[in-house]
Amino acid sequence: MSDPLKWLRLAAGALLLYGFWGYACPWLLSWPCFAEHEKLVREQRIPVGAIFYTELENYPGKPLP
Amino acid sequence: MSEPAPSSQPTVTGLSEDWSAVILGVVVFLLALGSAWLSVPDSFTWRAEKIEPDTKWLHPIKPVLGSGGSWSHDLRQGLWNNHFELEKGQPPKTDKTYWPGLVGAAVLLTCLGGVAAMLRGYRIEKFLLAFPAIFLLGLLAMLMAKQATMEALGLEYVMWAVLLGLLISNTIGTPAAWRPAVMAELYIKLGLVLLGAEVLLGALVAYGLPGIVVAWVVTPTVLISTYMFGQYILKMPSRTLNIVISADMSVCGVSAAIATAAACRAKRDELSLAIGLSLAFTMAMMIVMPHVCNWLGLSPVVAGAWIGGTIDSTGAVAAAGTMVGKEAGEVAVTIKMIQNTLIGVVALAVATYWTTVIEPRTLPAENQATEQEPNRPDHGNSIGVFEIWRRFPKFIIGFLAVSLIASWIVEQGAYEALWLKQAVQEGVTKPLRGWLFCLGFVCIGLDSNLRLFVPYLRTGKPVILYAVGQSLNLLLTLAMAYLMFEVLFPNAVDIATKGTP
Repeated sequence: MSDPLKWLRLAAGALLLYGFWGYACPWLLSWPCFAEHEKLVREQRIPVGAIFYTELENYPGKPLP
Repeated sequence: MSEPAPSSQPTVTGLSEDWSAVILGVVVFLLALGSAWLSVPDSFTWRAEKIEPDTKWLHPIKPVLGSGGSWSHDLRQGLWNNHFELEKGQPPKTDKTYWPGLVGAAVLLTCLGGVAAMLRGYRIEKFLLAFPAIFLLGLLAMLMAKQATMEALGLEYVMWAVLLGLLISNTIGTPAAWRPAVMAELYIKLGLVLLGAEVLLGALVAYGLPGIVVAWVVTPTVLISTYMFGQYILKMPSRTLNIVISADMSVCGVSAAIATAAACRAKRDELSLAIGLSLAFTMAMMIVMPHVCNWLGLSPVVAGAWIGGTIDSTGAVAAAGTMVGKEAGEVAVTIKMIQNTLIGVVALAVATYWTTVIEPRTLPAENQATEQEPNRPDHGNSIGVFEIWRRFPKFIIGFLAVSLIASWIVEQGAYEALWLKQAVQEGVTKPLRGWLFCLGFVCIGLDSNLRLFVPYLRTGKPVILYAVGQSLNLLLTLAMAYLMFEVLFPNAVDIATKGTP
């Protein structure tokens, strides 16, 4: 592949990724079911992005303060 | 099925990836434990039964180890601080400045990666020149995931990291100058050793027998059934892809997929595919399951146990459980934490099964010579104990050692639990592990070819495997949660939380 074509593909791929991230995902979140979920997440500040959730306050195995 | 991932490194003369990860991971964990004493609370008492509720033990390194903040419209919120929220007429919730954490993370990861490169026998100066590019891609992935919409959808940084890496490798190609820092397995295995500090075995006893049955009986049953279904009915083209998807779906999503893939030496594109499937199903289940729980009229405890036992990602479990109610949310996360303790057991079991049963069958036929062991001899169909040990993924030893030490410390008393959970986990191992996974997935993307995904997606078998396995998981977990928490032990949660039925 020639060099200009490579950079063109990079630019096109970057635009596609930006479109998915910046437009498709917010559009998905505007659906009623997702919007209800988002409201709860925002209000309660639930860290849904975390793989692990260790900030749990009240799980029974935790030593009592 | 798919070609082996291209080698990202030249000939290796130093320690293996596994031993490098074990040594570095254990040293970092011990250093984090020790250095936490620089900021010990004044009121500390050994083996104290109680502490003041507002006692804080912040690790001295915490202010300079972060991954940016959540942001909505203005990226500066994530990089600097959220004073920018004032622009929308909202008072700032915190006064945190994020950039020192990002600079600190860059410095710390450069040092860690540099030591790892030296242990592996690579030239440090080449690594130092290459690492900033990998870190910047990782930083971009972190910031993309911390945007409010992505956080609400549960689209984690691992997905953005792989996509960014794929974007580079499949358009302009991964630059040769970056190769010395493209060490996917090393970052991931080091992250897995540090993950051991978050897998606390004490969580096992949280709800007593019902919790153990729901999390520890259903999960292996679903894992084995799904794997058998994939092998004998669906005839999956790759055993490693089959077991990674099965573990990913039945245990706890991304973390279990990473651990299992490392244990059976799955190909990088297989791990990426399994994680992509997990994220897609998790997003759908996180939204749908609370409504189904309400529609079925399940009690909060059964609903929580069902959600905790089936949704992959722990964060999504918290979100879905809380949508049903506060109690359901707490039960869901507790069941998930009990299930998370299975990561090490599953990784150990898969590694043992692969080194003793699968590899002796497949390796001689393929006459493999991997990048890690280029001079691997052909041993025929019988292998000895030494050979099994040589093939065994040693990072599991580091993971289990860190997990056992962490679990023991937490059981010693209230201050010791604070030391481990607040100072060490929250301050050091958790953010560092997140960064290492992020860099690992950037490197996986940089080492992958999109064309390798086509055969998998054309047959649709991975999606069918995931869907069938998850359906079984949903049915079995619901039945077991109902039986345990509604019929046999209806007061288990009350006893655990309040001490009385």
